[in-house]
Amino acid sequence: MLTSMKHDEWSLKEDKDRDYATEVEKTFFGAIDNPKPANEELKELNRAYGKYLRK
Amino acid sequence: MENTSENRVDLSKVEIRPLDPDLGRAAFSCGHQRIDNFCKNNAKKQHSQNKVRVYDAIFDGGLIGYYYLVAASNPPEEVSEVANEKFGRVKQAPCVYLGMVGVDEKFKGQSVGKLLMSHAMKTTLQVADLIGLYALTLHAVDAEVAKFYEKLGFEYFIDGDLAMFIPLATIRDSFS
Repeated sequence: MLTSMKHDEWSLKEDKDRDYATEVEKTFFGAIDNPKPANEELKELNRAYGKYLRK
Repeated sequence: MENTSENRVDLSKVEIRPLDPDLGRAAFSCGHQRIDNFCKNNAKKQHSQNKVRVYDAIFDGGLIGYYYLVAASNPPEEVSEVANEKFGRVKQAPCVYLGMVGVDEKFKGQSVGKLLMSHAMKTTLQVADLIGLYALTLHAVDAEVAKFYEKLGFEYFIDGDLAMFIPLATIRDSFS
């Protein structure tokens, strides 16, 4: 990210302007705006990590 | 490399900590040349220059695994030129990139990699508590490893490419 200007511009438009210029934008921003809940595999991985931290 | 009983890891005794410049790295071998080379030739310097933050898994005084984190929008240099053009505004999205996740061959299959993954996600969450962050991104070393990340909920930016991401919100949910 060479400049924050584009991000500022885009952030201002984000809520009302959901046009996606490319498929990657659609995939990525779609996932960020509507994130899936963590699946069991990921929860289990991080539960095991919680046990590790309590060692 | 043989995974013998003398290489059995007691996970409760594994420490994950920022790179220690005095720790030997020359013997590390995970079987992926790029990851081994980075560990031996680049990790120490890039960590000291703040270009990346390297985290080492230490067991019995030796290095058994490592990874690095770096602030990045996405890994466009890792995808084809044609695919790169498709990223569009994703290039302005703040992300953390997880790189070079490697476990020494002698200690594979004992969940050290999983420990490193959780540590990386937890560390990324700590960053996200301080500054805006959309996702954790990575580039799987091969299709088999990509499947592992996919099972955890990572998504592909582009079908057929190994660049992947997982939204911060999903990571946060996994620790709740």
